[in-house]
Amino acid sequence: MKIIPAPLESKASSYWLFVNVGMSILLWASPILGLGIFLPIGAFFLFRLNHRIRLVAFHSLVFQIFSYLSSYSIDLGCLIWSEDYSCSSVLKEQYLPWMLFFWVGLGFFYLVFEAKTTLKKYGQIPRSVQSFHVIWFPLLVLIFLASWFNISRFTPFVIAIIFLPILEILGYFFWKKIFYKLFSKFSIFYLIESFFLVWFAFTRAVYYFSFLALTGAFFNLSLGLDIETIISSYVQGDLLIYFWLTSLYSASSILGRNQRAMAIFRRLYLSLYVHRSIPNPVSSLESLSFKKKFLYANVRNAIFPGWGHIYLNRYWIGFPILFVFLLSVFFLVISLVYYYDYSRGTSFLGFFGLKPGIPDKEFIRHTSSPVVYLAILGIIAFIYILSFTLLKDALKRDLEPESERGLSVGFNNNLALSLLFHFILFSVILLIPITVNRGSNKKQDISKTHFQPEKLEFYFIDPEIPDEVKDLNGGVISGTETPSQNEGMKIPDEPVSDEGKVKGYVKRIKGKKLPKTYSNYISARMRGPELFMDYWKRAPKPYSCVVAYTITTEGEITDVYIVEASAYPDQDSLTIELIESMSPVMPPPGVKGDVRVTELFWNGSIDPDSMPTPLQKEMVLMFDGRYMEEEP
Amino acid sequence: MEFFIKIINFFTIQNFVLFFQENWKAIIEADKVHLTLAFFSVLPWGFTVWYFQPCSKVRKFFLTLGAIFLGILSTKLILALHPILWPDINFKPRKTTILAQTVYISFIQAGMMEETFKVLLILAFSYIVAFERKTKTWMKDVVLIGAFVALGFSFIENYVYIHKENNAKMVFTMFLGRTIYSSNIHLLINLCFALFLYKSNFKHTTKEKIFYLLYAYFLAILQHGIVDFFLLPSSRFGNWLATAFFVGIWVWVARDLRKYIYAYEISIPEVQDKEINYLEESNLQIEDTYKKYLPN
Repeated sequence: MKIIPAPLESKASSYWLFVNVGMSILLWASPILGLGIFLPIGAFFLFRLNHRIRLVAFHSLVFQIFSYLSSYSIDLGCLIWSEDYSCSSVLKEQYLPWMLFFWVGLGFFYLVFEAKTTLKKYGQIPRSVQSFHVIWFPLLVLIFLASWFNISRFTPFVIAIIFLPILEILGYFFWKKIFYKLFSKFSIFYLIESFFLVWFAFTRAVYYFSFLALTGAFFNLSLGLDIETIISSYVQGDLLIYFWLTSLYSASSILGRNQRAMAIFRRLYLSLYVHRSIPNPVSSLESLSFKKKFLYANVRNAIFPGWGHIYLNRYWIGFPILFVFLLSVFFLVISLVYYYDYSRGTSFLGFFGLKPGIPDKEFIRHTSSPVVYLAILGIIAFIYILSFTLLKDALKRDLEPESERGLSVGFNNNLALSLLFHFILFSVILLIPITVNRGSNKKQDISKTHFQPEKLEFYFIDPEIPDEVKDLNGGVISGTETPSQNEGMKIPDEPVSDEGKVKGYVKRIKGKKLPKTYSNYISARMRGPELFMDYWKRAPKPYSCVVAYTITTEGEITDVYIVEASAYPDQDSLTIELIESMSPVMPPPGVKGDVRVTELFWNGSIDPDSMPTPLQKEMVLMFDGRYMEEEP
Repeated sequence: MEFFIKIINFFTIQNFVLFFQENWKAIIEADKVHLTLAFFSVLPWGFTVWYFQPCSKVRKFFLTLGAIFLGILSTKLILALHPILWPDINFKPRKTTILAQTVYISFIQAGMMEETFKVLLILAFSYIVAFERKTKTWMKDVVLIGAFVALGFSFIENYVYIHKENNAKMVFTMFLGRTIYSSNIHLLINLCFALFLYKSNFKHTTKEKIFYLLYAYFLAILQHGIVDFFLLPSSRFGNWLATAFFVGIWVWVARDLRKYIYAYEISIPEVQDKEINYLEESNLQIEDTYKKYLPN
């Protein structure tokens, strides 16, 4: 292709300004916009030479990975070592001052490091850069003070708008001389300034995102909230750590030179650039370029199988291998968590919005066998071997031009693709989204008449999915820890609100530690989709409807239909979706036929007088508004 | 027979005028905030495509206007044909699983219906205004047409979704989601098709060209279907897959745009420097210490 240079260079540069600014904004905002690590990775493929964009993409990617690792490691630790579900938030609340101290301290030490290395490498900052700081330094002090005393959320902005022109004029005549003298000696002032900037951006981000999340929209900023509570509720977020890192980056770029990699990543970034600069194809297989390329491709392939192929621009081989590898690792982690504790496994899958595609019982049986791990490990080993064999072959053919590295015929070229296709089918069978149901509908309509109030039982909801169940409606305080196996424990008449929403009276009952009932299991099982679908958040108030459904002996949920609809058809259909999404469940214990369930969904008080219909007046008194009955 | 009569009736001019009068009236009377939000949900992407398109400004303006109009028209066509193709039948509906429903909605109802109309309109409009009769080649303007038909479609779709959102607090979230995902994916899928249209110039025989375009059409349906299929059940894992797929399409489209559409008009270092010297272009000086890593 013959390239004709652009006639108007200025026009071309304006295009590039547009691309640079637009892409930088998108890349920095990618975790907020939900594009995650994928947009930076895409930008790396698209912009091979544009350093402005590559730098932003690189930092966005590194920061996201860092923030996910640092926040999810705590969650994962809690999931494994703690019995308490709210462990991570409790931990974060408890150690909040220490955590803040840790992050701020880390930032400060990093800035010292950055200042030292930058000064050593590049010497003093030029005066043209300093004039920028002349204005910003006093302004930042003011903003910092306003933030510190928490005068008002808008004060810093008001100060900025009013004082900026004044400071500019003052700076021009007066400030500049003093600041030049101070700054030209040592970069401690930059350090302070950068530190202020980090603090400022951090607090602003906390405010902004907490309001966004609390109110659902950012134009609703007028709520008065305490910064302590906001920080405590949002320190857990990976987004907050990401914001802290980005503000640290902006501070470090003021401290050093603009548009550079942070000192700590400089070597990594430049190495990546150098690796990328080796041409495709190389001039000969004897050249130094090829030797370097051979090494880089193999190292990449050892880290992630398939990455080496992607590096050689053989995407049709590289990406399938990479995806198969990642899927295998995902399966391995799922099986390990299931093996450790399958109730944790269910919540772990729920985190991804997934559930087992086969009945729970089957899934648990499979994951508890060591054959599964060996098989998955075998697959991972096979992927490594395959990847390296194909890489060796690909490197021999490195004189091929880029245009010939696409999809081509041959067993070796398409093996990985075919493997991926089978793996996807396999995954779709084993793991399905929470909201999706794969059940069949064999049973016909049922009548309202199966509701029998004389068989009422009372329960309270335990969020743990039980290991073992007995009876449908039986059991008292099933599964509750008691002082001994023979003694019961007194349960107060007041509603227990710690463990979630309590629907129905809790009677004062004495009992032994009994296996949980099937109804307990259904309640616990429903919590996942309820949370995931924001079912109760979305429900209008007051809301009530009665739904009936059948659980087959195989654990499939069928024949979901509304017995008594509410005035909100949208929420009613969501209710149906919620019930359908539970399928498949554990089969009901000790029954010969299917089980029919009538259940009330409501969010009002437990007061029969407030319910609109006679059926609902009776159902509201039942525990969890649910009644189960075996079909004849 | 009744089916055909319905279709013939639908295409009467009177019916057409009525359609537009009623719908526009409804749209303008509706909440203006939602309309503005819908406009802003397509604006950034529309501006980007418009800004980069090598074409005279007057022509650009009229092409854009026409394409947006056709995009809006395609939504009307789909809405009008929907009851004819999928009539509400009174007898007991056949029960299907949600998985089958998701596949059906994402591939057939959304993918096939939407893409068919958009693609047909792009083809028709491009043939009228962006086809050189003498050489029998498509002009570069097909990209502009493809993009703005998609954005016109997306504008109405986004408006409907934003307007349907009952919860006032969720409106902004909906707007953001529509801007980032839906508008973008519509745009990218149709840009991909328009690029195929332009690339068909390089095919020699008519048969090859037709097969190439058919391939592009099925690819569009597939792209739409896969993204929708992963997004509809709203699981986190599915979201990741859809995003990865979407970014992949973006890289592909942007590369092709550089290669075929913008390369000759705009100096693109990404294209040029690869050819000239892969090391010269750099606003970041490679430090001496790293020179040893460079290839000879």
